[in-house]
Amino acid sequence: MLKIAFPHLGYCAIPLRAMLARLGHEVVVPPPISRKTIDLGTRYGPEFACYPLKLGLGNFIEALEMGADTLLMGGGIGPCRFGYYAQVQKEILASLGYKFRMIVIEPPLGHARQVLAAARELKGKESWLALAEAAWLALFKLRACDDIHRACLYWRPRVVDKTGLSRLYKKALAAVDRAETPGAVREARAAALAAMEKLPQNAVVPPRVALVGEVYLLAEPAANLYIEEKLGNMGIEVVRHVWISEWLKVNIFLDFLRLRRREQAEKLARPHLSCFVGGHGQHSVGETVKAARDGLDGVVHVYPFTCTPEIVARGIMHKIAAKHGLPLACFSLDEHSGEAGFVTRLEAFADIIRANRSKKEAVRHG
Amino acid sequence: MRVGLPRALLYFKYYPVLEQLFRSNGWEPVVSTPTNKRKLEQGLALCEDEVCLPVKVMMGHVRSLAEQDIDALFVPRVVSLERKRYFCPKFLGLPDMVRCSLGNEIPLISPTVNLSWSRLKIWQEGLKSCNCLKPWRWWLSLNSAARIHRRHLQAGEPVSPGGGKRVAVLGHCYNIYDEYVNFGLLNTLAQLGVTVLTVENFTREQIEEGARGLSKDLFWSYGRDVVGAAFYCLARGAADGVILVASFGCGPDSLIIEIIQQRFARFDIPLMCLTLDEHAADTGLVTRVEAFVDMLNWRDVC
Repeated sequence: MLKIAFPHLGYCAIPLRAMLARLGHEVVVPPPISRKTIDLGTRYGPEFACYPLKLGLGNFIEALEMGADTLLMGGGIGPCRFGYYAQVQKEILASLGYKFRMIVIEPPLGHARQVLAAARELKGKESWLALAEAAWLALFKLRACDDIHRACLYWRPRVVDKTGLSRLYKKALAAVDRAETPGAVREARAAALAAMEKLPQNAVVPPRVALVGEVYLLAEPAANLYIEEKLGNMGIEVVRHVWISEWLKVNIFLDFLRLRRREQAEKLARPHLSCFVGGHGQHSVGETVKAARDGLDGVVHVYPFTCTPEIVARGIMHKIAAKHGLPLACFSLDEHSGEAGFVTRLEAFADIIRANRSKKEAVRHG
Repeated sequence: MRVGLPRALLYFKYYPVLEQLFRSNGWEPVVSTPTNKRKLEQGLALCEDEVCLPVKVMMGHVRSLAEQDIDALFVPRVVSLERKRYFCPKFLGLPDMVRCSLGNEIPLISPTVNLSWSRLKIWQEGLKSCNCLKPWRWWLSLNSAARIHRRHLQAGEPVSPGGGKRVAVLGHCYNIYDEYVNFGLLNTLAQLGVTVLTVENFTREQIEEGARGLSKDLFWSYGRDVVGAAFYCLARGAADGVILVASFGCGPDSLIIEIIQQRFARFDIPLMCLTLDEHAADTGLVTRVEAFVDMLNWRDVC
């Protein structure tokens, strides 16, 4: 039995905890990302490494302090830095004097042996069937969380009582966390979606904004300063195309089976950024084109400071946005991001979007 | 046909091959003059603020070439020069960034360079992206290019054959050999009487030997060379001190420097990291370098 911990990524702790607990491990879920996590990560992390590395490092330190002895981390093959996080974090933690083992899960295509070894270690004494079952439950929970989150993004600008929706969202995630079987997960999901629909709504049609950028910053509210919630509370609907469950499906399973097809976002990006630049750079460009095509009211781009793929994308996105008259706000975030300045910029962005809206409406009616 | 060749980024390592390829295909290379203040300022104006210094410098060279009388501009998309190892995302997106900031002013010649492809595919890619090439001649020059590059690499010998301490100055070629960007670091060191070693002075075998000390193979070619050379210095005592040169915000280097620092902390070879950006001033840099060299010299006395 391992005392196993992993870094936070939004609500991914829910499926991961379910899977590892099912396999009989003691799961040490690190405390939610707080100022302390950020401070630990920035004190010991490399100065201009990107924010996700530092936050993950903070999570690991807190988990090790809580008694974890095994750390679970993802790997990669470049050219994005993420592929080398685990090695750097391992070196830093070892130099701090922690005793632990690190299990790194590499992308299965090309690393089948390493993945198998990691799976064997995670499985422990359980059978392969049990591992498959646990993974299945975890995927189910992840899908349910994604669905609940998507619904929350849709309803937030529409409902009158925003705090009530937040409460409902938290309760729904807790219910998914508690569920023991796929059936129970399905019930929790259905109940949550129904309850959100029943909340009293206001009559206006909210403006829609695409949220694009780097996946960690999109999925971890503590890192993106709760941007989705803030925009929603300002009465703007956030549209997001990058979801963890989708990402796993495309980049892990389909890639492994060599069935990965070029995604729509990648196809749309090709005239502007014709090759894969690591991370989600090409996606960000593609989704900006898509937002312009679908008639969305604006684009918000979030990425960690010094994230190379997104910086490459950013210059190109500015050109596309200018061509289509689409408001674009870029937020490069790290441990120095101040809340107040961030909110001011978001409010200014929201004002522009509302002004554009009323201008369009005036044209339509006049 | 006059083709602009920016004196930036990979030019510093591959200029013999590039010039050979250009000439054998009947292009006249128009190389931009060395980096200066004006070029850097032009580059800054063209770029996103968060882009790293070498790319800003590159944009400056592109701009200054665009003002000259040229027929096309050579900006390749360098993906990979070794199997399973890549360049940083900026090299992958470079032609798109240039096209984005220059518009359609000047036609770009931007072949995708991926040496993990077969020679036939590289040949086809060249024909596809530079439609002015003559197939047969291009095939011949492609074959001779590899030979020229190998000869160029073998020519590495200590930059300044002084007798003093050996200092390894490790970093990407465009930071080490662009004198404007690093304020003549190599000259400063030579004047202080030390023997300078750069990544190019280490043989392939030495770098491979050093890189074996990594827990997971690095997927960036240049970063791996730097780590390999640094670790080789540690293992074999090939240098008395190591200076790492990186540009601010460099993605790969942020992790590579950390790995090297962690390793050097356990051994007795001094290490200094210099971070370059457009705000750097030469006085501070020279002072730090002098202090480093003094420290190396005093270590024998104390």
